[in-house]
Amino acid sequence: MATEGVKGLNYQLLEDRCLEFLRDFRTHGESQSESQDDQFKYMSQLQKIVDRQETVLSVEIDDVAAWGSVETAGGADTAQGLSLATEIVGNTFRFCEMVAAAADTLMSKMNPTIRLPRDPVDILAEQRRAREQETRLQTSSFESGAGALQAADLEPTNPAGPGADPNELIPAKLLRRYEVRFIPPRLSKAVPLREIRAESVGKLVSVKGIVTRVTDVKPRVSVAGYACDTCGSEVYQEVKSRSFMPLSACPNRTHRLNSSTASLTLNVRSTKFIRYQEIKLQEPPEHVPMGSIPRSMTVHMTSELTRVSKAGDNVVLTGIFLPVPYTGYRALRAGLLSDTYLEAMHIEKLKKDYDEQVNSPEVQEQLARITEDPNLYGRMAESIAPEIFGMEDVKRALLLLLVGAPERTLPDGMKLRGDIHICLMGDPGVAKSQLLKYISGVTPRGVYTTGKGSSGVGLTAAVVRDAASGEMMLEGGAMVLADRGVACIDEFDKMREDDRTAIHEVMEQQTISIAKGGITTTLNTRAAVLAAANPAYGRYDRRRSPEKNINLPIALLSRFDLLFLLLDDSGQYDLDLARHITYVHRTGEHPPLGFEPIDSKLLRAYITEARRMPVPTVSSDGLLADYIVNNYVSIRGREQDQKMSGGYIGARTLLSVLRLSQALARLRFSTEISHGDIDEAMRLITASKASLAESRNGESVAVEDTQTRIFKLIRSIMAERQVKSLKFADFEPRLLATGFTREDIDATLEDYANLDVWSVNTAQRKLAMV
Amino acid sequence: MTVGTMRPLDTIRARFGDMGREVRATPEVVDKLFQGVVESAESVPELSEKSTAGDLVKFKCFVQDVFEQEIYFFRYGSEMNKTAICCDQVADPELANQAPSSDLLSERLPLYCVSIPGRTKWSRQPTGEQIDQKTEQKIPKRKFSSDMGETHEPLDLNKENLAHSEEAKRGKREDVEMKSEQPATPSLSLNLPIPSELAEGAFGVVVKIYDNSLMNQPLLNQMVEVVGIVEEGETIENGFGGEDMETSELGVAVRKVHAISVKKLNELEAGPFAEEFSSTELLSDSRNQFKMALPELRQQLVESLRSALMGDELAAEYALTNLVSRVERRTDTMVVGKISLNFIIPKDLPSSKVISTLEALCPRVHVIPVTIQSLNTENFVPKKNYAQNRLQSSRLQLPEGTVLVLDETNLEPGQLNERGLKNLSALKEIVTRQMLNYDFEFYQMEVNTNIPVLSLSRTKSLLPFDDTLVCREEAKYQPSMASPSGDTLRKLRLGLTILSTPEPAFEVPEPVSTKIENQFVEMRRQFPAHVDQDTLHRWLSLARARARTYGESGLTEDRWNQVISMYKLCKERSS
Repeated sequence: MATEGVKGLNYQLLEDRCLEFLRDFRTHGESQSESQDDQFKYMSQLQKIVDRQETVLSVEIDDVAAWGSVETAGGADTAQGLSLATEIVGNTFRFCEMVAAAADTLMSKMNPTIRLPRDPVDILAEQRRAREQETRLQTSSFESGAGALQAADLEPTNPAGPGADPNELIPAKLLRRYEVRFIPPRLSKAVPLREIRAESVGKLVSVKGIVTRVTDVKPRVSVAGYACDTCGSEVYQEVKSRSFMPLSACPNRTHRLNSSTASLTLNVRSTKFIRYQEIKLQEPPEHVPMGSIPRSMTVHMTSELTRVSKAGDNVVLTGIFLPVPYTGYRALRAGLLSDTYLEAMHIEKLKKDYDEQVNSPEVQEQLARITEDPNLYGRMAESIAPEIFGMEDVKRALLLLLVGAPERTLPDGMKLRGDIHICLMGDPGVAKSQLLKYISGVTPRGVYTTGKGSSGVGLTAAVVRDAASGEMMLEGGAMVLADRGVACIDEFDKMREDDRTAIHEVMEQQTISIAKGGITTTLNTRAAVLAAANPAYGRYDRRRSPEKNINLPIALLSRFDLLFLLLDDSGQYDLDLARHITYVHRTGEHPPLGFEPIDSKLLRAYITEARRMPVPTVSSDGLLADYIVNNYVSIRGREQDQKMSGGYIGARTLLSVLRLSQALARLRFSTEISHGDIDEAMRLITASKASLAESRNGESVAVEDTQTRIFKLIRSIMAERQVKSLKFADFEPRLLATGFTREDIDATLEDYANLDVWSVNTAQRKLAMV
Repeated sequence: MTVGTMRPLDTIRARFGDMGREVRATPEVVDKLFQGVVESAESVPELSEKSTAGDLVKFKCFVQDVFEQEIYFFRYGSEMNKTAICCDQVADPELANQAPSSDLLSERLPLYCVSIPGRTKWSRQPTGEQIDQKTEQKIPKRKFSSDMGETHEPLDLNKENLAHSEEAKRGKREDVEMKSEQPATPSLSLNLPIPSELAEGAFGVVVKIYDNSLMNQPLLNQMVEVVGIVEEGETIENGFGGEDMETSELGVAVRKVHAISVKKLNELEAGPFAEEFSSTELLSDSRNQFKMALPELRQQLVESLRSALMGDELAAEYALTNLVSRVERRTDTMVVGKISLNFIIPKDLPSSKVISTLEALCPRVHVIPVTIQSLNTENFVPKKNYAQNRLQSSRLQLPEGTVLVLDETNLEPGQLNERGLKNLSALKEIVTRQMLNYDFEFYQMEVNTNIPVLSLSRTKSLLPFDDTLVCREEAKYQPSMASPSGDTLRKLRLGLTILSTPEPAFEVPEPVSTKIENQFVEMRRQFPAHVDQDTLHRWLSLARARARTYGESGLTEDRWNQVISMYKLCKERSS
């Protein structure tokens, strides 16, 4: 493929370099205890190949580059290694052959560490070599250069010329039990498919895409072996492209001398086949500019890489971008066009969502800058769908949903989900869908769907018959696709009944069990659910109770960590709304916001970082744990007092509090849950309940304010002790443990003192009822 | 030597030869090669049946699909002085032996273009009224001549060798199997958005572009004017496995043109009055001239619409507003300037009457009959056909400014299947957000549209239109004029075209918007259930379009009040 000596390179020198690299490269393992073998990374790989434990020699470009820099540091040579790495990336196809040749040389000196059964190929090869040596001895007596088995298509890399080493009569490729693969540098970024242009021809490129079509795996001739009908000699032909011209005449000199032609017969047993598969890769939607058609590319996969991917997979593929000049009939019609394909070297499936995000140094810097903002939490929350007004609490909750809490597996195998589920219920036209769309756009694996489901697959999964192969296949629905992401389900109330039953399992166990069409399996759906639902009567009817308005079973509702009710009330926002809309009509842009929103890319980067934080824990001193417990007990008590509706507070709520506070801790990049986190989590839960309570009569009265609660508590302490005055020390710890802040307490003391309910003696820190 | 006397391809090649052997395919170099090849666009003949290989031609078309980029030899030969630019087929042995190397290669992007869809009869004539049958661009359906296809066997099959040929056969059989995986997909043929236009002389052309900056721009669904060199032979390229499609399967073959220049056209430039507004001065001149005649012209436009709508003036006003409305701005959540209307027309008014009037006035109209059958059987959503690697067009793949008429008058109750539901939701997307989700099987791609939608139905449409108006027959109405003809008609068409061409800036002055805001708050207090942010948004779009029908470039309080009263009248009728 590559033109020889284009840049006047000395290929022999480069091959020597490859050999040196394979032989001398050692990983600088931190642990000295490692055996010598392990440190010589490639030598040990080669040993494994010799022992037939491995079939792939994977060379990491990173290693080649590192090797080079070591060499230069030693001052022994110029930056050979570095240039070798660039050389490899620039002319990969050629180097595959060279590295393989170098590896062959090295391996010929190695002995298997274990006894191996002798393979027919080995025996065959040995016999061939022996016989060739014999014939050569005979022929050389009457002719200087004989036995040239040089076929027209034989590559010059196999110099089976006069006086050549009999070992090389058989193409090395036939005897190789491994393949050379280059692993791209770890930090290299996948190039958008549409940016691969002619200048990339021959280079190693990484592209990201969706597999759209996969052919069956077929054997492809790698080395064709022929037997001559007349002289019985064997002829090999290396095949490098999709089609090849079979040899028809035996190239053995003897025939030419006799001026007779001897025909060759293809011998399947001495022919080497490799597994071969062609796939079609298409640009992922995020790389396609608005209003453009996604591009695609053909990829050739061989041996180990076949059967790795299937249609619909998201992959990062590294390969050599190569042209195929049209051959034969097509050449006549298409003239000079070069068709192109990617010869796959390495494939990586993308499934890991946030993990695959690598934040560049610039982004890191930006992150560092925004982290300094004291009101980061508020600002980030506001930056979620910045053009939607108000809904501060909803946005905060959504931010926590994006961050999520870590999943925990208990020693007994029980799993505690970390994903935070949120349900938004409300009148049409309160921007629920927009919030959902925004969230699905901002997460790497966000799926937006409607409860009705646009496809037959629906939310869970379906068994479908593949149109191409006729096989039964499992096709994941929205929830499966959103695994490790966020599933945004609009019109949750209009969900089909069977999906709704499935969603119970999905939301708590985070799996889907399927028993359809003879396939019984369990699929992971570790996704946070963000649901939006309309009230039962289209609009929220204030004359009816919340239970009647909310058209969802309580069993389902209790699975949501937070439930917000968004009502379309005329009033406070109307003018803002009107201004907003007229502004858009005037200028075509959203009005400037009162703050500088964090753009969604940075937001995503921040969340990525936050999600990488280790599991935040509750400190072991027990104070915080008590605090949580007290809080929980008091809320539960209050609920019973007030017969609050709209979701019952139970053990699940406690878990929700923990999840939310874990998310909050992660958001602060902290590994420990603080008081403040618990407070905020409780506040969000209370706020979400309050939005329900408010709806009942349209006025916000249902929840007592903090001061009233503090007052009541102090009164109850007094009642317990049957006294009329208390020292601060008597009630303060208890109040603090219940979740009130010192400021709250101080404010209460002051306000009630002003109301002449009690008198406060700040000097003696005493409180007396009036 | 002058360009005129030489074949354009020879000019380019000669120039390339002068450039020296180290020249790389940079945009500047390509520019230089093409410079001056087209002396003046006017002198270039239109693409026609008679155009032969190597001819320089021009034509206007609509980019229906963008294929995969192709790599070609920018430089080759022992002297490195030959180029394969602008040519697919070079019978040059030097080329066949040229080893590909990245510094010799460059890329080009083939576009699949079809004649601009949806043009009404009159607007297909190149210059408005002056009908000249001979210059009408028309490439009739061709039959593929197969003499070229049978001359050579593929060289990679050697039948003499038994073992190998068996293998080859197996390989071939598998190939066949792969091809036949999608036997059910009907041939895409010319892949016209509106298939019926085939009979009206629609054409398809593969245009190969060399301009690097253009390749990075969104080209899909653009109307473009191409000047280029006709390539020999006719083919439809397709992508998978790099195999040419069996041209005979298609029934039609298309020409290939290597573009020297590609110009994106706006609605006006693509329309029938392009020549009259070939420069911005001409446009603003005619705008000014037009302003004098405007009140009368506008009245005539309303009149002609009114006569089609049984004298209903309100409906005529609404219709005119709809015809000139265009999406002007978009944010993530709002589409500014879009109006979609639903007319509930009386039983004795055939929809065809309204449609024919619209067709007489507008340069581009497309009518979709919405019936259970059409919904269930047709495909309204463009879909990627991976078997042929082409974007399967649909009736909704229309260039900007095409008036889309949904004829729901024949809609009967019935069962919708899955396809029907998909089609319905596609229509809904256009009606509500002026965008369409193209189906790429593994994901959806949002594509913005800009086509005013008017629906005609007998009862309230099942799609969520911005406004629904019940049309009424006006008993007293006397058509003030007979159906316009000749010069009047031409004037009306010209007028409508100018009105619907957005002027660069449309203003909503601060005081007007303040007033609107206050009015909105007030109305919302009164009717909280009927007025919400969407209503305000719709009113503003309506007011904007209405101001446009008066040729105004700013919103005034009057227009706003008119819109509100129009809206009230409209609501009264439907209650």
